[in-house]
Amino acid sequence: MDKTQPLSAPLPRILVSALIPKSSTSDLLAAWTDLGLGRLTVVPGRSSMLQKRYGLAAMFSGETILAADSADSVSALISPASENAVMNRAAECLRLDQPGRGTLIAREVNVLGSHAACLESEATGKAEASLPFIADLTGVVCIVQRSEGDQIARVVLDSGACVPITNFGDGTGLRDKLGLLRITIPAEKEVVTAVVSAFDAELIIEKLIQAGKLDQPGRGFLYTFPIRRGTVNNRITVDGGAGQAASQEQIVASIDHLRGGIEWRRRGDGGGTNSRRVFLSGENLEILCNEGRASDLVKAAMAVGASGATIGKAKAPQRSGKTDAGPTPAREIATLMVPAEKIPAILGALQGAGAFDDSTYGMVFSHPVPKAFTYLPRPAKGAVAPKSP
Amino acid sequence: MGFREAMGLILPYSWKRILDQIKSVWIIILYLVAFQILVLGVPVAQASIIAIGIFLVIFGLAFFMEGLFLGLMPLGDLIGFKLPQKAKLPVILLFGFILGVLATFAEPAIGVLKSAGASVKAWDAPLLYLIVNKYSNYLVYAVGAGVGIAVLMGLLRFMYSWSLKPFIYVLVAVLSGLSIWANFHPNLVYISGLAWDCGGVTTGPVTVPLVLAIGLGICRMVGSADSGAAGFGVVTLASAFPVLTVLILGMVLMGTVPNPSRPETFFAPDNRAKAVGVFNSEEELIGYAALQGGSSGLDAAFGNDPAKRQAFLKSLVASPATRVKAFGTDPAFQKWVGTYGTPQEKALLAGMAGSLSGTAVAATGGWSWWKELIVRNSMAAVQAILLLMGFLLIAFLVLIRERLPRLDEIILGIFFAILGMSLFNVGIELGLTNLGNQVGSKLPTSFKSIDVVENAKTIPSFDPKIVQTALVTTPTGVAQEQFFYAKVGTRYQSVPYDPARYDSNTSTYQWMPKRGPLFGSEGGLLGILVVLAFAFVMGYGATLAEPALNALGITVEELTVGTFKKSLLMQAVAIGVGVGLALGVAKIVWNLPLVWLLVPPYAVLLLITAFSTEEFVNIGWDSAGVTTGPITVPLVLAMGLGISSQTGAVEGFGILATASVCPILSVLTVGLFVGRKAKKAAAAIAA
Repeated sequence: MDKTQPLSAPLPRILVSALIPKSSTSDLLAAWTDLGLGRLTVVPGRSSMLQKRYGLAAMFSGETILAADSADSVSALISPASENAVMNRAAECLRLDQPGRGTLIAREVNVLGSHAACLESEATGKAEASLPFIADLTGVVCIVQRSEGDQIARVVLDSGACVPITNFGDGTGLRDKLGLLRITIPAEKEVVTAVVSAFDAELIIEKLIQAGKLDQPGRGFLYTFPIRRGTVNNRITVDGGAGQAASQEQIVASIDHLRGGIEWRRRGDGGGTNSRRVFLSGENLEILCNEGRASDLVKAAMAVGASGATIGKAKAPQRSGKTDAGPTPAREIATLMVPAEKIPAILGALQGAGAFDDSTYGMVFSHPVPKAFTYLPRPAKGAVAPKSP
Repeated sequence: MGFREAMGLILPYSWKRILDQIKSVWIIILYLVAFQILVLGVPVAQASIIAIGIFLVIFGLAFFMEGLFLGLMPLGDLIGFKLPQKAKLPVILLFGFILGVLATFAEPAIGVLKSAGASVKAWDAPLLYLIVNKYSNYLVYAVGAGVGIAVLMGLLRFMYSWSLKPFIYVLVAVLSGLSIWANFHPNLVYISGLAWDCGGVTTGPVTVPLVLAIGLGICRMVGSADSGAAGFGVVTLASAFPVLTVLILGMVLMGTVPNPSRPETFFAPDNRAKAVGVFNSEEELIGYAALQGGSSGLDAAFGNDPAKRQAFLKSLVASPATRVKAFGTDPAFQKWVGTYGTPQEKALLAGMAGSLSGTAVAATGGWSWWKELIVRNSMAAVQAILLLMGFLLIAFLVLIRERLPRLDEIILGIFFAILGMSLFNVGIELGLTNLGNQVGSKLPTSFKSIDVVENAKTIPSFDPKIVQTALVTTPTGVAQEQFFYAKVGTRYQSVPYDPARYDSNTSTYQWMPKRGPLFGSEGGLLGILVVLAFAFVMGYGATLAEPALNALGITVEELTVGTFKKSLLMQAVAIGVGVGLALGVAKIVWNLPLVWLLVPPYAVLLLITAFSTEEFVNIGWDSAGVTTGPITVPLVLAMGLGISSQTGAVEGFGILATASVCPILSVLTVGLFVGRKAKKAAAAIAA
C-alpha cells in the first residue's frame, strides 16, 4: 500500500471506543497493547453524574448538582475480525459487567485514506470472557458553546439514559472568514457525547434541542451516529445504591442482560416530539492527524465545500521501548459533517494539503449520520447545514 | 463587513472581558474603601485619582488577559510543543535556563524587595542592608540564576516525566535546614526573610503564563497519556531555587560585614574597617550615620571628636561630589545642617548657599507628572513583555524554523498585553497602591495611638504657661505628663503637650493630633485581631484579582476539561493567601521569628504532599508561586510598612513568604477532600 494515497476503495473497520474514568485509562491501554493493538487514541474529557444535596447546600444549589470527574475516551480502530477480542478484553479489564464502570461501544466506519503507519491495528491475542453486549444503541453528539455543556449533560442524566462525557473542541467555519475580527467570536466548544437506547433517541434529541435552544441561530449542532453494539454506563447518580442490596442501576443492568436489550426501558409514547423539525442527514468525516495540522486540513476541505469543523486535542500513547518514526504523541481530531457526494473532492483536497504525508500522519474515516440538527435560515432538503460559527 | 457589523462583534466581546475583570477586582476595592471609611473612620483622600486608577486597572487587566490568551500563551505553547521535535536535550535545557534568567530581568521584582527593605537599618542587619542596597545587582543575579536553574530543571522533569514530589522533598528539607541554621546566625537570620520573599515575588504575571504554556506544550509532545497535570511544576521550582541562591549569596557575603550592633558601636571608628564594606564609600557611611542618627550619629562616626566632624563637614561644603556621595542630594545636606548643625556649621552652610542646587520635583497632578508616570510604566511593560517575547520569537526562528501559524493573532496579543500592562501598572500606582497606602498607614490605629500627620495644626503665639501637669501612676511609681486645654468645636479638650513641638523663636506650637487605639486598649489583643482580620480579607480579595492566578486557573480548567473548576482553585488559593497574610502580620506585630512560621507549615505540607496525587501536588504548589503578583504585593507592602513603622520591627520581610505557604496547604487540603470523595464513590461502585 502506498503510504501517501487515499485508499482506492473504502476499507471497512470497527471503531471501538471506551468512555471511562481517567483512573482506568492506563489499565485499558495496557490491556489493549497486550492484545497487540498499536495505534490507540485518548481524548481527555469529563464525565458528569448527579449528586444529591442535603440541608443548606440544597437550598443554594438545588437538590441535585452535577458532579464532574475526569474521564477519557480511549479508541482503537481495528479490523472487523478483531472486534470480539478487543471488546471482550476491554470489558474484562474494566469489569464492565458491573454498572458504573464505563461505556464501551463499537461502530462501523469506513477508512477513506490513511498514512500506512496509522492503519495497522490487528488484534493478535484473544479475550477469554465474553460479555453479552447490547444492540439497539444510538450515539448522540451535541456541540455547544463552552460552558453550556453541563446543561446538555444534565438533560441526558435527567432522562436516565447514561453518563454523558464532555470533551473540549474548537469550532471553525464562519469565524475564519472574518480576518482578525475572528477573535471576537469564541471558538471554544463543548462536545457532549451520550449513548442512548435507539428507541429513546428521538425523545432525548428533542429534549436536547429544547435545552440547548439549538433551533436558534448560533447555538449549536447535534448529530447521531449508529452503534453496532456496546454497554452503557447508566450509573447516573454519585451516591445511589448505598444501603441497598442492589442499586437501581444494578437491577436495570441485569434486566438489560436478561432481556438482551434495552427496549423494555422505552418511555412509551414518545410524545412531545416536534414533528415539524427538519433533520439533516449526511456523512461525518473524522480526520485524525498530528497536532497543529488539523486547521490546515480543515481549511483545504472547506475550500471544496465542507462547511466547518470541530477540532479537538487527542493523545496517541507511545509504545514503550519503541522509538518509531510515527505519529507524534500529540494528535488532533477534526470532525466535519459533509454531504456524501462531496467526499471524493474533499478527500482529494486533504491529500493535496498533505494529510497523508510524514509530517501529518493523517487518517480519514467516515460514518453515516442518520440525523443531524441545527438552526437553518431557510430549510432546504438535502442540504447540509453550516456548523455553528 | 461594515463598521456597524464590526462594532456588533467587538462591543459584546469587549464588554464581556471588562465585566470579567470588574468581577475579579470589585471585592478588594470595595473592601478597602469600606474598611477605611467605616472601620477606620477616615475619608478617602484623592478619591478622583483613585477612581481613575481603578478604571485603568480594570481596562488594563482586560487587555492584558486577552493578550495573554491571544498571543503570549499560544506562542509559548507552540514553542514548548515544537522544541522536543526540533532540538536536542542540551539545547532545550539551555533555552530553559536563558528563559528563566531573562524572566527575572524582564519582571524585576527587586523594586518590591527594596521597598520592603527600606526600613532596614544598617546597624541592625548589616548583611541585609548590604544586599538590598549596595549589592542589589548581585541579588538580581542570584535570583536570575535561581529561576534559570528552576526552568532548566522543570524542562528536564518534563522530558523524562519525573514526579515533582522528590524535588519538593529535597528542596524543602534543604531550605528549611538552611533557614533553621541561619536563624542562629546574627546576620543570616535577616536574610532568610528576604530569601523566602524573593522566591515569592520572582514569578510575575508574564513569566507564569508563559512558563505554564511552554510546559504544557512540551508535555503534550513527550508526556505519557495518564499524567494529569503534566506541564505544571516549573513555578514551584522557580519559587524554591531563588531562596536557595539568595541564601547562598548571603553566606558568601557573610564574612565581609560586621555583626549587628548598636548604632554607636557600628559607626565607631574602630569598627570602620568592617562597616565600610556595607557602603559604597566611607563618606556614604558617615552621611548615613548623620542622616539616621542625627547629630549624635555623626559624632559617633568621628569617635565624638568635634574637630574631625567639623573638618568633614567643611570638606563637604568644598566638594559637591563628596556631598552627593554622603548625603545623596544637596537639599538633604542643607536640611541636615539646618536641623542638627552647630551654629558654626550653619555658618559654613551660609557661605556656600550659592553653590547649592535644588532639584525640582514635579508636582502631583501636573502634566509632567502624568507623563513621567505613563512613560515609566509603559517602559516597564514593554521591557517585561518584549524581552521575553523577543527571546521566544528568536528561539522559534532559530530552533524551529517554521512558519508561525496565526501570526496576526500573536502580534495583536503582544500589543494587547503591552497596552494592558501599561494601563494596569499606571492604574495600580494611582489607584490600588494609593488606596493601600492610605489604609495601611492608618491601620495601626486599630490597636495603638499614632500621629495623624495630615491633620497637624500650627498654633501661632502659643503661650507655654497654659501647659498643665497631670499625675500618672505607673507600675514603678508616679510620673508626670504635661497637657493643655484647647477648644475644639464647642467642647474643651485636653491635648498632650510635647515640648519638642514648641518653637520658642516663633512661639508656635505644632499640634499633632493622635488617633487610636480604635479597638480595645493600647496594643490590646482586640485591635490586633481587627488588623489580622483585615489582612485576611485583603489577601482573599486581592488574590481573586491576580492575573497570573486567573491564567493558571483557566489553564487548569482547560487541562482537566472542566473537572477542576477555576473558581474552586481560586477560592482555595485566596483563602490560603488570606490566612498567610494574617500570619505574616502577626509576625510583624509580635516580632515572631519567621522560621517558626515557615518550617512547621512546610513540615505539614511535606506530609500532605506525600499523600496527595501528583495532579494536586503540581497544581497546589504552583498556585502558591503565582499568588504574590502585581495586585497583592503593593497592598501587602503598604500594610506591612504601615504596621512595621509603628511597631519598630527590624524588617518587614516574610509576609510574602507566609502568603505563599498557606495556599499550598489549602489547595492540597481541598485536593485530599475531593480525592476522598472520589475514592468513596469508587468504593460504592465496587460494592
